Amino acid sequence: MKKNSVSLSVVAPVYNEEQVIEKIIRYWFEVLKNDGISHEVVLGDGGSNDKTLEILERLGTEHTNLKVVHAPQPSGYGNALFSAIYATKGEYVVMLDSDGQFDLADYAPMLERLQKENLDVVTGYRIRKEDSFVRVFADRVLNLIVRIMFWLNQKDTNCALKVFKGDAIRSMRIEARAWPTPTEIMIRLKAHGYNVGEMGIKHHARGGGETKLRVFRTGFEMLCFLFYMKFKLRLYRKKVINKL
Amino acid sequence: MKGPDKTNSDIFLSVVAPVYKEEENIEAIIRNWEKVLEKCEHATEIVIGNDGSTDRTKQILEQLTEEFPNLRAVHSKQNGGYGDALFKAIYASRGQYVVTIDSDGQFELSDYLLLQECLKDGYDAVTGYRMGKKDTFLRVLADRALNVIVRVLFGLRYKDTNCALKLIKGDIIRKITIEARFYPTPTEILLRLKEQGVRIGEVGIHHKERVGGQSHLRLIRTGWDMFLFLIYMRLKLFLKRTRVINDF
Repeated sequence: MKKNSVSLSVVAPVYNEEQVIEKIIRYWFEVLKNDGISHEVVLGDGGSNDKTLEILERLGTEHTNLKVVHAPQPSGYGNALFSAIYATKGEYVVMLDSDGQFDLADYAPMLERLQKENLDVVTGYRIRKEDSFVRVFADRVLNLIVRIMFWLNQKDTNCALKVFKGDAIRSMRIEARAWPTPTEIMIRLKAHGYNVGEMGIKHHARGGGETKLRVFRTGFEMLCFLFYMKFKLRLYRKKVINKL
Repeated sequence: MKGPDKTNSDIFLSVVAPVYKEEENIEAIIRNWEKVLEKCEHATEIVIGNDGSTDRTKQILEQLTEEFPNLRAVHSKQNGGYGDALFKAIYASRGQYVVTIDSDGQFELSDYLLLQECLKDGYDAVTGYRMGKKDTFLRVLADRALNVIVRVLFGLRYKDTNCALKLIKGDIIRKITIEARFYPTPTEILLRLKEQGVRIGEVGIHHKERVGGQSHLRLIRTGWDMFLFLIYMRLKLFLKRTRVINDF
């Protein structure tokens, strides 16, 4: 069996993060260098029109294992993220957001658990979230709905920090354009019978820049999308449709 | 598998059909089709999608492909359903135009000329509507109900959406992915073509009773599943338009 030459791929979607992106990418490379693991960083650009791409190009000359993939437009979180995922080659893949809310260093215990228990994915759940009350509340409600509808046992399916076996995540197709993506990943992995674990991780306030998230629009999107997935799962199990 | 466009400009017409356990009929039908195609002045091919038939269908097809150089068959190991078998054959086709048809003798392949004639009015695809349908009362009723539902949900007025006999430009149909496993496939094709803005014409065609073999259709379950599937398509369209999902 051919061994992947890159062991760990770090993926994230990026959109207009000129204020924080350089600091974050440099930090990631520092973490990965310290851990001594062979790695690559793949970013999925959702159509940034500020200085983000310039900054990344400059960083690319310093770090040859930094790759930027452009998602087809019009883009959202989901397809920006997956454009990057499909371009990865690592045996393991870590996904997270590119706005400083998660500490990449937290991947290490998650990866350890993945390897030790031979899981296909370890998802984080956010402890003590540094977020506005509305967002925390919305997330909790969402999680409850997801757990009831899909019988998922995870505490925080929409947490963006997850560690996967590379082949498992690369074989996934996703349909959500924007916010529901991390949850969609969990729903599909469960439907296909993959082994899932979870681990508590720290959540930080955004490092700078501003959030692109509007709570009500995304709440509506999420509910519609969950309903759609539930319906789709049912049709798939009844063999009315061929693929999930 | 769907891939870069494989239109072979030498082949004008691909006749494509799914087949499932038709050992009684399939030889006579293919011979009839080959006779019809002989009259065509351009190069043609027939591509059959064998949906994992467990009778002698596969062996019969293998013998026939040796006899007819323009006949090909794609054999699925498992039963993936009507839509799955049809589209495996479509993806393997190479003609400029593709005619989809059923392999149980209900349609006259020569009616493809009627569809072709309609193309002159500037359409990229033509769908047939069965005139004088020779079906059980329940099936006629089900088909009528289907047309009404499609009109209500999608605002499309077709006389016979689920008619299997359709003519579509090759490069257009080979880019489509379908999801339905069983009988809604012809309707799904129409919906997806419409969503892409393809101009579709409609023409009356002949319909005969199935000759020999047996229908693998269980009506009530199929009716309900078709309804659910159409609701699913409508929901998908809504989610695509409100940009919740990426693709239709």
